[in-house]
Amino acid sequence: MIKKLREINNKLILKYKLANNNEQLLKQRVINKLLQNDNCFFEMPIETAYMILADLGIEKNNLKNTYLELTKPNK
Amino acid sequence: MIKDLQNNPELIKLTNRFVILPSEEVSIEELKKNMQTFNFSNNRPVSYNPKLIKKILLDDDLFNNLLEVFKNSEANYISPAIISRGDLTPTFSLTKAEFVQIANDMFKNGFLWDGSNLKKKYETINKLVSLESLKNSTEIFESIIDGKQVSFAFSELTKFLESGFLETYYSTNNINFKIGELNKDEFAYVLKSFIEKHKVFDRYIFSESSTKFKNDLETDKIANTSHFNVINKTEDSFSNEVLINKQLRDKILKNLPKNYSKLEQAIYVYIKLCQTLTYDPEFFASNQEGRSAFIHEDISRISQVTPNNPEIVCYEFNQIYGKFLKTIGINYEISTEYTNVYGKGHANLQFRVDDYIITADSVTSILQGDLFNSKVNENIVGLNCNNKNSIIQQKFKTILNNVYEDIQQNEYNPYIGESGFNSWLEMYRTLSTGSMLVEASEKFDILKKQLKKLPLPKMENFSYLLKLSKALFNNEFEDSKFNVIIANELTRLDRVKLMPLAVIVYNSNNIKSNPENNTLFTYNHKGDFKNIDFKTLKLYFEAGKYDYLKQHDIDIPGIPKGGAKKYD
Repeated sequence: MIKKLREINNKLILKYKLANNNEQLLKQRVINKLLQNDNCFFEMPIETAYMILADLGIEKNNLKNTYLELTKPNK
Repeated sequence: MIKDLQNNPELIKLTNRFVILPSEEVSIEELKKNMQTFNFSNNRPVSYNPKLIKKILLDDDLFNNLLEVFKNSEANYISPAIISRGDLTPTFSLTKAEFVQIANDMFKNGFLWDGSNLKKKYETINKLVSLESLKNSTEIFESIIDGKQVSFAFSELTKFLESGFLETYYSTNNINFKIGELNKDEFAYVLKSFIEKHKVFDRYIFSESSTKFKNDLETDKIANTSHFNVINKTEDSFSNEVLINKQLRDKILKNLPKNYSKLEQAIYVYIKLCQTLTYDPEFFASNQEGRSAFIHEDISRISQVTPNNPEIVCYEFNQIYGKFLKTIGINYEISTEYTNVYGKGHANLQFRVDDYIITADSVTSILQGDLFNSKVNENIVGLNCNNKNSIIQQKFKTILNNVYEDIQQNEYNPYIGESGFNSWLEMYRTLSTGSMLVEASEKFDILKKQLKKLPLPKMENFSYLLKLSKALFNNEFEDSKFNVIIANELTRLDRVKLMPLAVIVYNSNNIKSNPENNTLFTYNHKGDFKNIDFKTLKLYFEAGKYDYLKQHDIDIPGIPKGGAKKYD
């Protein structure tokens, strides 16, 4: 699942670069750094995790299931 | 031609700069059709019209005009021109040396015949571009190199340019070469200045090897002269207004190696500043306009920049860096893009250390500049050596890499590794507006779902429980609204034995103030996650069914240690 998020993040970085949207681009670049850690969602509060997932375009009603997937003990 | 000048008398004064052609005999269209290219072996290719050169040499009036231009010491070029509609239209332009060299070539190739009158004309123009006049000159050339006044005779410099350079600059043996007080680089600077000021290669014919030497001099291929007479003092009208916060100064200089040269110190400070400071995200997000821009226009703000208040913009970085350079004893200058007003436009800083001229730009790109690169051990891109000499450039890169490696190996980088993650997390929070609320019920639901049928060994289940709880209830942990205490349970499996037991405590206010109202769960070695009420839990502890571990340090609120009776 985290690999999928990294792909989404890379696409968003490209998108915001082309659109010259510096604010969102910077945020996605920071998210990129966080996602380099396979266990990143264990190392942040769930509230922050949900915000990151929302920034990656995960729908609100899908946040919980995505989080469950990401925090499964055996990935 | 006389008729042309009679009709345009104001152009007579230009006959010492242009060879003026009769308009009834020459047309621009015809000239353009017959243009050719001459390739000098060590020089630029040039365009010329051979028929026109022939005409100039054959026609006595035109030749005299040519001589007038040759003898004008302020004119370096031979530019045949046509009068058209009251003004001069140049055709092509050759240096005096080029003109004669091309004429000689045309003569050699039989394009011009050897009439006695023409031969005399050749001798005349060749004499005008001959080095003999330079070698016999009594003029003195004066120059200043970093405040040091030097002078050399034209004749001496010419002889050196003719042949003296070979052993000095192309020999590997003569490292300690000196002319008078000057070393190789300093003397190369004198030669370059002499060539440039008096345009000697435009006016006189030198050999191919001399021309090659001149080209190598100009590109700093064989000597390093870029730094002379550059940044001999600091040019910064705002420097006196800049105050560096003590905390920032201490942080930057704390681990500066004592044996570093000035250049190494300058590089070290630059990298440390990039690692410590950060670009103001509001200024960035608001396109460098508005309220945020207004705040940064106040130079006194710099004194408030600290490791804990590290947000800056490009010109603040430069002022801070410049102040550090001054402390090291390095001269620098700051220039802004469009204006000399502080706080307007991107600013660049350039400094000189010994033979090096360096530009420093921490914000070559806001997102991909050194404010970011230095934090993640990516290449430093904003420190650049402006010397043309490739050996100096390579030396600089080596020194830069060595200092950067020193820092990476010997100093703590809060952005790398585990603690680096926290720094990125903090940065993410800074960039995010608003917050996300997750209800406690959703968190417990997640916890229950994940704990159900865990595939891990028993102890690892408890590790996982702690890890996930910390992520789910991070804020509640900090606010004393949640805790997980690992205890033990007396079980009767194959035999009576103790097994781990987790007790989860939650209260939306505070778990310590009213323990009987806490929400409680237990999680046991069988993977059962169950609600339990306070009274039952207390009873189990008092009965000895549950007990604290010897090494525990936190009591379950309302259930002190030591209340257990024997449970049978």
